Amino acid sequence: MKLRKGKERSQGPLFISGPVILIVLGLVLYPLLMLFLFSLGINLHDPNITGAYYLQALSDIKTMVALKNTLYVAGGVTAVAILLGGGLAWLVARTDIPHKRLIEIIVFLTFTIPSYILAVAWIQLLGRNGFINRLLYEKWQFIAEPLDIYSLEGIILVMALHSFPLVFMALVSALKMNDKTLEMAARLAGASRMKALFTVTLPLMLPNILSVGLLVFQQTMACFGVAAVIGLPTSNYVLTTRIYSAMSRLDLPSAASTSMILLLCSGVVFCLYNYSLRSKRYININSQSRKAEPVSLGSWKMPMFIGVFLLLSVTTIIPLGSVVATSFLKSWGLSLRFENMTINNYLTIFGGQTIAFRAFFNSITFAFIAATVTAIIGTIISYLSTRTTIKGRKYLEFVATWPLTVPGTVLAVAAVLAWINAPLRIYGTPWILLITYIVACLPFGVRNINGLLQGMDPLLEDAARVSGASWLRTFKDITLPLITPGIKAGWITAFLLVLREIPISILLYSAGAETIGVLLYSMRSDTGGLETVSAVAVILIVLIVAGNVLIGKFGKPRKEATNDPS
Amino acid sequence: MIQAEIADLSKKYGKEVVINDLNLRINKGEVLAVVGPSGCGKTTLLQIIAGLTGAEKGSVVLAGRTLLSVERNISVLPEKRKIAMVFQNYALWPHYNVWQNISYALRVRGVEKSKCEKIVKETMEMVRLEGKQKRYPHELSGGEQQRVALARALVIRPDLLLFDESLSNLDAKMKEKMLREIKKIQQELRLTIVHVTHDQHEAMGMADRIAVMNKGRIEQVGVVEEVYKYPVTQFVAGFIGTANFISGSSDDITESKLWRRAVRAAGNENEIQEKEKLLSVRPEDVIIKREKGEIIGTVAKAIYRGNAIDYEIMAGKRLLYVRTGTRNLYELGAEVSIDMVRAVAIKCN
Repeated sequence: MKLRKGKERSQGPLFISGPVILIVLGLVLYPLLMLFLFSLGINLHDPNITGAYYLQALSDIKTMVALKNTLYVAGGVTAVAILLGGGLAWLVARTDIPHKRLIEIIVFLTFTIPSYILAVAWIQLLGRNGFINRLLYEKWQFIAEPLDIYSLEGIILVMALHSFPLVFMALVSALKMNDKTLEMAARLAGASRMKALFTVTLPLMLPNILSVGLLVFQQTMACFGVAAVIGLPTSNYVLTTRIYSAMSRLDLPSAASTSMILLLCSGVVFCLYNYSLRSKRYININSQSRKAEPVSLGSWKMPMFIGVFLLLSVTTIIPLGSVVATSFLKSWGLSLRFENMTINNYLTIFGGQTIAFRAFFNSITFAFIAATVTAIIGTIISYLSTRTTIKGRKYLEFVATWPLTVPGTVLAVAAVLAWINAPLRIYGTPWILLITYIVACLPFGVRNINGLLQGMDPLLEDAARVSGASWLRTFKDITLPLITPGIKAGWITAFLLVLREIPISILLYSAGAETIGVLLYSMRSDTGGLETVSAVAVILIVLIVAGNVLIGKFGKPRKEATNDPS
Repeated sequence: MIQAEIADLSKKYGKEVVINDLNLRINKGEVLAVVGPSGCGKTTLLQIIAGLTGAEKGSVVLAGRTLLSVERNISVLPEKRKIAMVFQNYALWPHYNVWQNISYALRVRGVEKSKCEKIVKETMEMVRLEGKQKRYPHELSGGEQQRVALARALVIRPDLLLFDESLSNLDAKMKEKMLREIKKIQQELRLTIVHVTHDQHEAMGMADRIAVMNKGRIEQVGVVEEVYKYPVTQFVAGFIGTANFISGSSDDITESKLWRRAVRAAGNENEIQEKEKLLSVRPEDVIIKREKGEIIGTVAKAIYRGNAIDYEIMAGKRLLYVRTGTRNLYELGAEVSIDMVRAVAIKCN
């Protein structure tokens, strides 16, 4: 593709870039800047407060423990997710294990369950009075001590089960794209199947494994919900929950400095991840290479499949079943008999004046507005960055995608610091929630559309101009229809993100503006309402599955989108 | 009659000069091929003519209307230029079917529906795409995509039609066929075409005149035969066809013999000896024989072309390209005598 540098070229109305730049800088950069300044002890509104909050935080043994715990959990989750997801990916991509599609669907389903709901489901199963402990410990006395979900290992278990689908999906596609002739060459050179796997396939996959591992590591560090519901009852703090508890004590200095520490860790890992994405392509991906003969599992075929199925039952089907069953129960604790079932839990969400109804209504409203605003800003930013020559367009794109590296908890703290003082005081109103959601969603809007715009030949637009279409007409007739899949995918991603978002919601909501996240978070207190909340969770999962199916439909490389005549 | 005139055109990308004070006139109803190696600025030239990029200096006038004049601060938007372009990768809109692609320029101009239908139908017949209205670009073969791109450019009956390496994606047979068809349509509609290509055969297949471009300048413009027979620079001689360059300043004995022979073949001996230091000899103008002669060489390589044979003859320290008929065959290593029947004095560059 030729790069256009002609500065005289008419680029359409650039006046729109002004407000967009202002919005992006105001919403993304300003809060993070406030966070940074505040953490240094520089307070614009109360210059008396100065001090080394960092020294305070770093000398606080609790912060150091939380940091250590964060790294331990993230490392553990990454290791387990890679083993589980990688092994499964190899089975599906390279062996003749039966029902591959079924396995892929179940793993995908696991991916769609919000981690927080997964955690609650596991508490229902592994809590002291949980189903598994009752069976293994009390009934069969299979184990000497009841299993304890309320531990760092419990967090690792749930987060790993939540994250392994990511590894699985990344490695399946990498294994499928990997040039199979390389493995064949190794076999011809005399290597056994296992030898070929360990000397050729695995080393070639290493960059991919590293990449997705870093992504899982970063996401685990940023995760709040699971760590809160499992860690907080027994005071097992990680950085996100430590920030949260500082916020609930209204200890802003500690929250700010801990946020900066988390932001730094997360940012470093994310940079490594981005770097690994860029540098990993040392293998020639040869799309024409022949399909390798799948490794025959022989008589292990069925036992292997049953094993995988049992594993997936534990990771997905049982927790999901537990949530679905609870959502139909008249009251949590009742046994699963038909006379105990009801659909009232669902009816109250859609009909009543309950908090569940309100939360649902609020979240959908927020999600709708945030997704729409994100889609519009994302389109404009992507267009500016790929189709114009205005100065600083790449910086604009960078700032807009930056929130990807910022954990929700940190975004919330930054929002509080930015929007708490007059004249910009919107803290305590629904606006602060909306604005912070938009910031959190912005990267997805930009990334989805940017990808399509970059892949789209600018000559298509030139052809329209030469045919007599004005800039606006060209945008409407050519550009917009071709990036619509990206806009839709970005919109849906943003919509779903807001629906299941927890830390921003619980740190920034005000009375009357409760969201699904707030509602879900109240799920950990086992005092009633669990049935209704489970019903919310089920609806949420259905929406997420539907949304992802739609994205899959849009995200598919459309055949007509590749206009390569050769 | 002049249809378009490009004067004193210059364009830079950063510090790199892409178009360097370029002048070019395009006659009404002619096909002008602009040929040059990749990176010589020919695509940029088209983009400036079409208004897709700007220039630092110069002007473009088409059919009496100034489209670009940097000095007078005139730059007509691409959509107002009545220029059509067939792009290298065709740039067909993937979300439009054939009919929508072809009719787009008319629809954008608000042409009345029945008239629009009539023009599109006529044009589709002209490029032989009947019955393909409802197809999408990805459902078409490369040749058909090419025809859609052509039809899309033809519907507005442009003042100037630009081809940007438009045939380079077709195989040799298909290319021949398209060249003939385009030429026919061009004559029927009396279109003025600028055809940019790096392929000299493609250029010769359709063009009335050829402009050879190098480093942002036009080195020579003329009818095809003239440019081939009387290249003015070393670059043109080497780019259009193959040429043996013989220099008079060499100390080598064989080289001096070659030089003297070439000077005689060129005529005007004295003049050349004085002014020029380089002669160009086409391979077909070199004659080789088995009989002993003044200049001797050995056959280093022979490529059988079917209707001709291309030899590389080692003469002294240099290789000489020779093209002969297929009557006399010379085995590798055979000793032959070398003679020349035609040579042209060129400017060294």
